[in-house]
Amino acid sequence: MKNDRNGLTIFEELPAVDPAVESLLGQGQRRQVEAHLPRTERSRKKKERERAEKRKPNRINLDLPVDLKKRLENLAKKEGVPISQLVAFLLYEPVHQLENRAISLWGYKIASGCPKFECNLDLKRRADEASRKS
Amino acid sequence: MHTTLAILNQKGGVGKTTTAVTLATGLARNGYRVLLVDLDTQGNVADCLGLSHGDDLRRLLSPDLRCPLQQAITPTGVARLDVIRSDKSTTALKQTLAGVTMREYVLADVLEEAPYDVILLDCAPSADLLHFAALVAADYLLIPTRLDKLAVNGVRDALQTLAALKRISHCQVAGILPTFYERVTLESHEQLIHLAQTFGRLVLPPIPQDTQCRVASRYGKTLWEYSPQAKALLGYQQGKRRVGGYLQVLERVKEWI
Repeated sequence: MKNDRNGLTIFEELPAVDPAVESLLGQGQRRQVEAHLPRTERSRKKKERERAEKRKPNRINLDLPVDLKKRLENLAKKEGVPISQLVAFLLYEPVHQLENRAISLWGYKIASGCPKFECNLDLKRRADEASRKS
Repeated sequence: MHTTLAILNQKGGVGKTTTAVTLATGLARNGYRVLLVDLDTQGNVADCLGLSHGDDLRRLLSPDLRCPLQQAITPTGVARLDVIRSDKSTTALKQTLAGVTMREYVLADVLEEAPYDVILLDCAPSADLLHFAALVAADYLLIPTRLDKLAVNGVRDALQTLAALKRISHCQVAGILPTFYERVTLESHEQLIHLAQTFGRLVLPPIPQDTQCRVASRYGKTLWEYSPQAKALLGYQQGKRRVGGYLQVLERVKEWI
C-alpha cells in the first residue's frame, strides 16, 4: 500500500483476493481518484459511467466487412425490419450447426499477430465461397 | 457427518449474531439441516429469531443436568433450522464448567452425533471457556469484523487464540467477513485494503452497512423474511451485477460444507 501525491491510498501488489473484494476495492479507488478531479471532469466521468451501466446486456458491437454491412442494410430496408433482428434471424441456423459440429471453422483460421486472439478468420475466402455457391 | 462453523471475534458489535442468524437461515432455506448454538449470555440469537430467551445451553452442557441434545433444541419456525438458546444462566454454566476436567471438549462431545448438516456456533465477544470450547468443536472459523482499527485488532486476537489452541483444535480459518462496509467512506476502503493485503483470499465479500439489519432484529425476523431486498443481503449494485452481501457470502460458505 502506498500514498500518491494526493494523499490517496493506492492498492498495488495485492495478493489473490476474492473477486468481490477486488471489485469493491477497484470501485473505491476510482471514487477516490474522481473525488480529486475538477467538477466538470467529475461530472463527465459520472455520465460516462451511467451510460456504460445503461448499456443493454444483449448488445454487442460487430466489425463487419463493408460490403456485408451494406448488403445487410439493404436487406433490412427492403424487408422493413431492424438490422439487428435481421442479423439475429440469419445467425440462428449456422450457430446451431457450429455448436453441433455440422460446420467448422477449419480451413478459415489464420494465425493472428494480436496477443488477445490466437487466430483470425479468413472472411475473404468465406465471401468468395459463398458467392461461388450461390 | 456435520460441518461446524464458529463465528467469533473478541470485539463486540461487529455483527457476529446477525451473521450467524442470517447464514443459518440462508443455509436452512437452501435445504441444509442447520443447528445454531448461542454461546453468548446475552441470548440475542433468540431475539433475532423472535423467540424467548431460554437456558437450553445450560441444560445441554451443565455436568449435573446434561439433557440429551434432542431435548435441548428449540425449533425456530424456519424449516430445517433449530437453535440452542442461551440466557443469563450461561454465566453460571461457565462457572460450573470451570471446575470440570477436559472442559474444552464439552461442546465437541455433545455435538459429535448431532443429526445436522451444519452447526453454527455464535460466540460471545470474550475469550472465555465457551470460546475455547467452540474453537475445539469447530471445523472452520469465520471472523466478522467491522472496518475500523479496533475491530481489525480483534481479528488478530481471534487468530492468536486459535494458534494457542492448535494442539487441541483442528479448526481452520475459513474467512474474515468485513461487516458494516460503507463504500463511500475512505476509512472503510482503507481498512478493506489493509485486510485484503494481510489476509488475501480469506477476506470474504463485505456486508454493506444496512439499517434493515437492526430493524429486522427489532421485529424478531430474519433479513430473508423482513427485507429480502436489503442491501446487506443482496450487496451493492455494480453495473449489472451485485457485489458483497450475505447472499454472496452464503455461496462461499456452501463451498466449505
